[in-house]
Amino acid sequence: MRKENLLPILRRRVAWIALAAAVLLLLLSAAWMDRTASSNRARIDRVYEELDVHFLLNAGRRSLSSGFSISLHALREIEHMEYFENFKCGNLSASVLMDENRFGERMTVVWTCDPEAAGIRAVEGTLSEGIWLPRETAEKYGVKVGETLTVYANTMGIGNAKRSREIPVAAITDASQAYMPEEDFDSLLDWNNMFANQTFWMNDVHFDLKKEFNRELSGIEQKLQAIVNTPNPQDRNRDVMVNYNASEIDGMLKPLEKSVDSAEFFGKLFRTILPAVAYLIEIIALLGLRNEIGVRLFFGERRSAVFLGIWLPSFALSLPGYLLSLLMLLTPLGPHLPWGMALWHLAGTLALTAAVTAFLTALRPLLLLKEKEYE
Amino acid sequence: MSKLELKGVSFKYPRGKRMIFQNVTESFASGKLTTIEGESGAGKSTLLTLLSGLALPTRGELLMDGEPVRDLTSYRRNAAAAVAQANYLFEGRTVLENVTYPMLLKGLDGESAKKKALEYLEEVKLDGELASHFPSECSGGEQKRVAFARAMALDNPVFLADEPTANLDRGTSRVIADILVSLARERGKLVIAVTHDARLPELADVRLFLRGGVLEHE
Repeated sequence: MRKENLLPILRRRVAWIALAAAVLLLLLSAAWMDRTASSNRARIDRVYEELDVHFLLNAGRRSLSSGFSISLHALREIEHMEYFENFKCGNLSASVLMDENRFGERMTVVWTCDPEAAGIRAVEGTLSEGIWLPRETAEKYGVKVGETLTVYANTMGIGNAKRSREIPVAAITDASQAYMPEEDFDSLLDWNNMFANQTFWMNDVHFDLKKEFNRELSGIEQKLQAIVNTPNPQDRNRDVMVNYNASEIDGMLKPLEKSVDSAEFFGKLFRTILPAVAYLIEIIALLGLRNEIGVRLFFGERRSAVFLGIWLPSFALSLPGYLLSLLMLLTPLGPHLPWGMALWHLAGTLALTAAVTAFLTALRPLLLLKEKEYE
Repeated sequence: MSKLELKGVSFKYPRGKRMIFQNVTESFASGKLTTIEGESGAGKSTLLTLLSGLALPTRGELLMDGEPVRDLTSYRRNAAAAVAQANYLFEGRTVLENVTYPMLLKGLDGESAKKKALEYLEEVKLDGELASHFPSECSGGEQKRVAFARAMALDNPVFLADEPTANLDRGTSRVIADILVSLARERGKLVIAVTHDARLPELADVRLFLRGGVLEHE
């Protein structure tokens, strides 16, 4: 193959116009897709920054009760997770059944989320660290505010020895049961073999998601659901649902998601159409070479030589455009095409230029050179 | 001495319904200018198409030096050179490149081809300055002469021209006619021209007429 026969193709204005058009198309598409993607990303970021997510634990749909129970450990696990803040509970309480006291009786100690709402008032002392005893209990045990109450745990699992615990009396109340603040109450749960009824009854547990975790919303929801789906064997209602203010969030996210979906749809469509348009330009450019092919065949140049003489420069012309688009994949301005797809396009142009060139060189020269003139 | 023969040739286009001409038998000899005349639509250009090796006869044979022409590609490259009515110059090549093309095709080196191409351009009375121009920058008469120079550069024994003087001014027609005569008589080529021009046949050695699909002598 002589370079003199290759160069004229590379000099064809129509070929360069086709190349320029294909590259321009790629550049414009890259810019358009990038702008759309950036815009959508920015909008999503803004929405996530603004979201106020409130989690709620509710009775499950299978429950006939408006309340539900959950393991105290599970609740504490949720409460102490780094994702949440502003843990609030209204009508929420938990009780631990302590084993024998010195009179051989059992005593229930209760923790409530909101002591004031539960009507607990200190008659003596303050509702601070320690145990808050009803007046009758205090009198029965003969303890006063500032003294300690000795309680025993059931130690059957470790022999007959009884283990005792000294708990300071912080207040005398007019309530009917003994109460403890949350931290002291939790410490009882760590006591080996404490015979504890670790069950909450509640219908209003509420906590906020910290904003920095807004993007992990769905993952956190799943983690919560996994925790509440592992109930304590003593839980009477094991069907607890994790909810959040989904309708409010959906109201903010749905329109955006629609626009993102729409942008993605058009992006995909564009990526499908783009190579088709580029291929169409190539076909038109090759059809513009009919005269070149026809004349060469007219002069008796072999079809194989004509084929190579047209295909190689045509592909060489397409190559810079496609290499440029491949390079653009490496830049933020790139068309975001997967490498595989881009290489398929390259192979596509190789095959297409070969197929169209082969078709044209297989035609009779008269057909390429407007046979009608002879007819 | 080359001899080109049509032996019982009939032709119909693949998608055509009628025979353009039937059972034509004629012999063309080198060193002579033959003109073929006829009314529009008589089939003159089609006959030239066959003689150029662009199509095979529907029936009958084209013989070159007594041998049937089977390989049209080889025939076009090595036996016949043709100038079509529409010239069919390479649009993307300069005048010089158009003329060097046939010589490169035949294996001549680039420098020699350029040198000879300039000689051919001079022979068809074209200014050397035009060599670097593209065909679209040339006038109709100049394009015709470039087409002639390019066909001459093939240096094949048969030279065919379809309406070589059509739409040309008198001076250019005269140049073209002189080239045809010179190719036949000085270079011993077998020259056939299809024409409507009444002046060209006056210079011809043989005048043929195509009437009703039959080729007749004057």
